[in-house]
Amino acid sequence: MAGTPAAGSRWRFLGRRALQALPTILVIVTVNFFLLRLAPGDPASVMAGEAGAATPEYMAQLRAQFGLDRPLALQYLTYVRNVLTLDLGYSFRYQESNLSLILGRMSATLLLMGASVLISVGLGTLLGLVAALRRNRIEAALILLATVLAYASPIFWLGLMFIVVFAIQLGWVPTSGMTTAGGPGGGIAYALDVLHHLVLPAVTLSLFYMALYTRLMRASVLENLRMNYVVTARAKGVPPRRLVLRHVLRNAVLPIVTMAGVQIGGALGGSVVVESVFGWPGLGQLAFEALFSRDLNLLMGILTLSSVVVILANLLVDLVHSIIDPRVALA
Amino acid sequence: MRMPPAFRRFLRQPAAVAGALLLFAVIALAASADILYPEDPFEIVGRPYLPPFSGEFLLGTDTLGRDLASGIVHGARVSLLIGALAALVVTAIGVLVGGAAGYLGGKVDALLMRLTELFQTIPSFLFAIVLVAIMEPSLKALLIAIVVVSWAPLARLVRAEVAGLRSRDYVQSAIAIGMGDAGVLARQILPNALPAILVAASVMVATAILFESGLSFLGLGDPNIMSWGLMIGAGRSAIRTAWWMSGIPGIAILLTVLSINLVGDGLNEALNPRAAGAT
Amino acid sequence: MSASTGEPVLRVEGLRTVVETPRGTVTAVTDMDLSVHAGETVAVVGESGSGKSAFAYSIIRLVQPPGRVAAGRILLGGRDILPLDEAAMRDIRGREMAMVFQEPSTSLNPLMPVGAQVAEAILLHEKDVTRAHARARTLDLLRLVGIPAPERRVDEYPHQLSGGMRQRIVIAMALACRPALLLADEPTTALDVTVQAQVLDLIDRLKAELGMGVVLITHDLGLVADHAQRVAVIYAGRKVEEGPAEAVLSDPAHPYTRALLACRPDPWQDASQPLVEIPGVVPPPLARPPGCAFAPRCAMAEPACRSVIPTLNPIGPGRQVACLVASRERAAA
Repeated sequence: MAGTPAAGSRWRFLGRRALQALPTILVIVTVNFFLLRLAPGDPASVMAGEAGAATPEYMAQLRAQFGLDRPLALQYLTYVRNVLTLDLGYSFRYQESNLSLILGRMSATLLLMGASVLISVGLGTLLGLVAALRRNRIEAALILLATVLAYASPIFWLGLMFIVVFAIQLGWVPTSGMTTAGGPGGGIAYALDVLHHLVLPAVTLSLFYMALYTRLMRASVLENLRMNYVVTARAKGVPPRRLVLRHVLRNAVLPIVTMAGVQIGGALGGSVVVESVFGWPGLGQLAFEALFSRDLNLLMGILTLSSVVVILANLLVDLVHSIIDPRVALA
Repeated sequence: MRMPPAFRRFLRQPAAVAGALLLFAVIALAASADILYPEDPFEIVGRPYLPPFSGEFLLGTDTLGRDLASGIVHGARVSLLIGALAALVVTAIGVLVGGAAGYLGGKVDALLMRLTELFQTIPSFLFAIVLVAIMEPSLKALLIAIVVVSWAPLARLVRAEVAGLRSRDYVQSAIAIGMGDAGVLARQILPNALPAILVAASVMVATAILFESGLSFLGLGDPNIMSWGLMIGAGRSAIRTAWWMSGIPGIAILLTVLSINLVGDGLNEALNPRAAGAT
Repeated sequence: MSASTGEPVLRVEGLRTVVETPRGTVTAVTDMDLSVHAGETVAVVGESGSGKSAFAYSIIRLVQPPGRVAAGRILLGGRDILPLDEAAMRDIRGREMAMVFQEPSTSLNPLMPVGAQVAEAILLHEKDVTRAHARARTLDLLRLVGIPAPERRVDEYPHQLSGGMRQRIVIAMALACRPALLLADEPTTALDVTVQAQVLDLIDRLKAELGMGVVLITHDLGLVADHAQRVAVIYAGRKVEEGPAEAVLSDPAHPYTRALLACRPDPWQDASQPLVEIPGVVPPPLARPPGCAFAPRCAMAEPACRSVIPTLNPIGPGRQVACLVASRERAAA
């Protein structure tokens, strides 16, 4: 019912945001290039990783592909061209192109991130709302205590302790991995198996942000309850439940949405340690492996594509924001 | 005139006072590490896998027979050092960049804010890993990595504060009566932005400690310096049989970060009572 | 119209509203009596801090804690609503009495189409109304308050409307269920001068059409002559003078009312003459003097004024004043 003009300006707004993201990607690629040059040692062996293990032919191929024997400016342009055409190089260790390696691991990370964003935003909003509405009650005190603890816990440690309690002691969930070896290969049974493996890492990754959103939501609800539109609504006889659900909730959730956009990059970074703790076969683990085989080129590829994921996720957040708040598209 | 009431408001909050006491305890522990445990925490001193409170080792021993209590006390130094230094450098950069953007406005502002957006787009922990991987693993590398990935949010906060203050009437009138930029910044803007900066800096200490522990856990710290993250990583292989090897250093991190956060919340309430009333 | 008879729409008796603060109980409004008849506008005039807004919020019982109504009776159509519980009050708000606020820019929900906010008032109070019917009535209301192209505006959001249009929406929302009493708390303060007149004329017209009683809270005595039949002047939480608007404006009895009138810039006045102002400020609630609260600022104050709180005395048809000096003068006259 919002009509086409509003929808039109929404897409224009998103288009503008997408356009703004392009230079960002270029700058990230540039930063990557210079970081690779900063790494000590011969660039080709830095890129090949596991110095000494690569064959001379492979090194020669690398030099040719990235133009490593040519001037720096040309090297840079070659690098940018390669990355922009999605040529992220070849991993000697995995005998596979970096792009297909990364894309192969991407879905596992997106699943983990998506689940943890849903948990943290959903529960954080709910808990923050309860903490605000039940202000001077025991529920609010308990919620705030929990957020303070979650806010101070290193997530990798929390993950380990969860494994001790829920996987080892109680045996409710598997200790690591994404699927049961030799388990179901498809269908609902497979999905349930993945879900079973997903619960613990997703909860671990979401706790810190859940605490953040809870605090933010509580403050936002309290602030909104003091606003004039709330008095107007009460003056026309709106009952408390409707006041909260129809009026306050939607207004109060706006800062959460904004924050979720800022935090997606953080959550992606956090997934590195969580994946490492839970043996979750995603990008984070790939980064971890690349790190220890000193496969810097693969590491850079992961960093670049992760940044692209963050940018896309931010566009999604912008879209959600513009749907909730009709004022956004005009800004 | 301003400090005493703020100090009193801080002392009126039990949680903040508890946090401050806890933080003092951690600092005291770190400061007396060499007196309490003069030996190298890497030294093998007893039978491995000893649980806490068993005989001479208060917190037990790790998989190699190193004293966990000694590691905790020495690790406190690394955590506090990294936390304090990172917060100091990040705050300095944040004040410079955010102050310039907020005060000068216009093109400088636009450019610097695009830069901070860029740094906020790159997944910070992943970025830190890459930075440490390129440098040799050392405390300095950790510090640089943490600073590079964390300065942007603080710069944005300072910018918002400064830009907001700059448009205030009293600052505008100071400019109108001919006070120079340096004078306006030093006398009108920074003192008023200080509470927000102080609170953000205290949060930064906690964030840096968490960051350091995460990187050390992955084995990216200085292998020759005992740190809590390293201890958690080392105890991980024995998690099924000896959870405390990872559990205890984690509790140390939690308590330290918790104490700093409580102090930060208390500072926020004490320095900025009007805005903090909302939270 | 001013000489209405029968039971008033609103009768307030001995209303006292206080705010509990850490430094003691502060009185916002005390000993307030006021009657409003159908088809009548009563202006409540005072400076900021006089307690006039607290008075309006007390009547609709939306005083925010730590404030509360401590004593008195609020009779709406003859029924005392002060003992009612929150649920019963919700039933009354928006149906029997409604309120229009000072800030049209913030008094609407920014994320809800304006039409939905008006329709909400209808759907809340009339259970058997369908959504389609509520929408049709919303369009009628938008037309009634003079919104151009209501079919388009009904689905727009507050930020797409001007301040004056938003205030018309707030008025439409208030009138949705044809209340007997409308409380207007400085409804035009935040608007441009030209829009102010439009909005007040609108309230006048709707009052006549719907036969409402209106309480117009304002600091601007200039509005009173054109838009109110009676006026109550309040100072430091107390009513100091009340009477027919014309009589009070042409022949103010209380020195405070006189001072307020003298402060009004006269468009015909020589521009070189300085504007008159009342020296001093309204005393803060915790620092009120023992006698007449206006005495420290009053040119006519006598020693007795500083020790005795003056009571309201009748000084003519429908007129009252709470001032020792004025009461004496009028009695002698």
